[in-house]
Amino acid sequence: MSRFIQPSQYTKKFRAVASADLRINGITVVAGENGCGKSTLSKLLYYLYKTISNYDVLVSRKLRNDLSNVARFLEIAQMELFRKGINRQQRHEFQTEFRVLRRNLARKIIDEKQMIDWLGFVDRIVLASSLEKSFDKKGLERLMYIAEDIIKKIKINKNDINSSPFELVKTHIKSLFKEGFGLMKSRSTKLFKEELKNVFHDNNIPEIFDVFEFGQEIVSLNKSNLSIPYSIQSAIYIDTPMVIGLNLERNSYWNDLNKLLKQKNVNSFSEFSNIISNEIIEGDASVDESILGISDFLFKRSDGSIFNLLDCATGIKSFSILQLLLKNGSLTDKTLLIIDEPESHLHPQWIIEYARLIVLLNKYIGIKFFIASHNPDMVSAIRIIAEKEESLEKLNFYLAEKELSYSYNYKHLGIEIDPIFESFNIALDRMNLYGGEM
Amino acid sequence: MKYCSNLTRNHCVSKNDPQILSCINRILSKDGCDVNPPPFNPLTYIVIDGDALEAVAAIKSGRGLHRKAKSMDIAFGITNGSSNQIQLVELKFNCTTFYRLDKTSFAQKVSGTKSALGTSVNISSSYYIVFKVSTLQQGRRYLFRQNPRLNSNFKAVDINGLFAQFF
Repeated sequence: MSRFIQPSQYTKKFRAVASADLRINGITVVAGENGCGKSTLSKLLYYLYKTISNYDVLVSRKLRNDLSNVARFLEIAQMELFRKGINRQQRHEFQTEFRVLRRNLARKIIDEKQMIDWLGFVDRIVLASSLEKSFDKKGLERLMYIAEDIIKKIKINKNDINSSPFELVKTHIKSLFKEGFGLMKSRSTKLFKEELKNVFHDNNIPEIFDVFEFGQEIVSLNKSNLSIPYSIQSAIYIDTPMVIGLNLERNSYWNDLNKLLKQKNVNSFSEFSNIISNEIIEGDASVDESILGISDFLFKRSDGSIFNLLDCATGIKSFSILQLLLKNGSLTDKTLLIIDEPESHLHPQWIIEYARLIVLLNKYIGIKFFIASHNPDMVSAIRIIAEKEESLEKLNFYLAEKELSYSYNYKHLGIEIDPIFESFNIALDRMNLYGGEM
Repeated sequence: MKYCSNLTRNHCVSKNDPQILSCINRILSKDGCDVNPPPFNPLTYIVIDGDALEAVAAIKSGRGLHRKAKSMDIAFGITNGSSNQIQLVELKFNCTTFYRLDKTSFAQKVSGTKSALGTSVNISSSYYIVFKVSTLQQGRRYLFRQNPRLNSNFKAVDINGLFAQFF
């Protein structure tokens, strides 16, 4: 099968990855020693699909961040207004309107109406302040300093505009919204590049990163625009089952996953959820939303006992994550589920059960998997069960082979797993080295 | 220690029943080894066919062919000039379901062939299991899983490894 037929991605020279030409059209399994770049590829894939599938959301998020200083300016201006004695009802109206503006920006894709609302809000402050004569000279000077600080990053011809700080801020708001509209229209690659720099805390991005779908290049860092993917429309990244219930800013994909897990159930794919409940973990994971809106992850054991899922065994969390995602409809034939070392924390028999689920979920739902594994049982179970399920054509194994120090090429093995075992068997040689007969 | 034709041909079971001797390539081919081109050169390496040996032993002991014991596939003489042994080899060229490899079964095969060979020549305590080149590493891993200790008597090799070791 050609890389140009199905979704595939080619990465060259990025961190430990010298080159990787990966086919992502079924179950892709990569193996290799620690530090060979498996997690780098996982994150690249995750943020690729997160960016190109939610491009408008990311543009809106970027605008929200860019407008944060404007919001602070408007808070200060309102405070000046309130201090100089507008009545209580007007004060309440200002506060409510400002709250709605910010909430809409956080929750909706940006549009012209939002821009008009923000500009109108500035005008209302100006109008109220002129009626009440709220701003004294010192206050206006301070707002001017702030406004000039806000606009220092953009090119504005100060001679063309009124010297009022509010006019400067309005020009800035217009400029930011127009930049956002432009980004959404062009789907500029720039946003993806910025996302990669943020994620990897590194200004060095891959020398080459190309993504193909049905023969067409849909993403290239060397091109200016991103296309819209069809085969994969969402990506979920699980690097550890310990992430469940955590809300940490360090890795945005942890928060993304927790948000997904808390989505309401739509009772999708109950047959696979039942396999997990009845044949593996002997219980059922669920999300219980309290009246305060705080979600608790619960695990109801088959004997009726109920536990906080966060207190349960890590292996149960592993399967619970899958179960919750299945139940709430997050997993579809357009989902790429990226899992780093799914075997972690699992008893050997559950490793096989997990491998079986991967094969079944791919075969019957069409979920695409990108798996990084260090485990012989996981690798061989996926191979053996896929053969039994007549899904071998969906399998692609890769082995990271060292090119130079700290640099690896990802070799495509097709359905052959012996080279991966050769790599695993280095452990046997080490055992002989350290524990064998003299 | 290396292959010894004389030791193989002159073993008492070979003398008594020369039909148990066979060209190694014939047995390899029968088990699914790709012998084109032949992995062994020259083609004249004569070994004891373990299955034929067990058939003879079953008849002689009165068990009959329907009650043959399990047996290793190949046995041949090896020597270092001063010491002689018989080497036992099991062929697993067609093995794809490694999780079915069974150490008890291997032990029974060794026991069956040892019994058929008798005690006239010492039998090496290392037994070689030969896998396809493309599945050797999986075989090696599964053998270790079956018997998770170092210096196991059962050694996984491919045909090139067997050749390098004894021929």
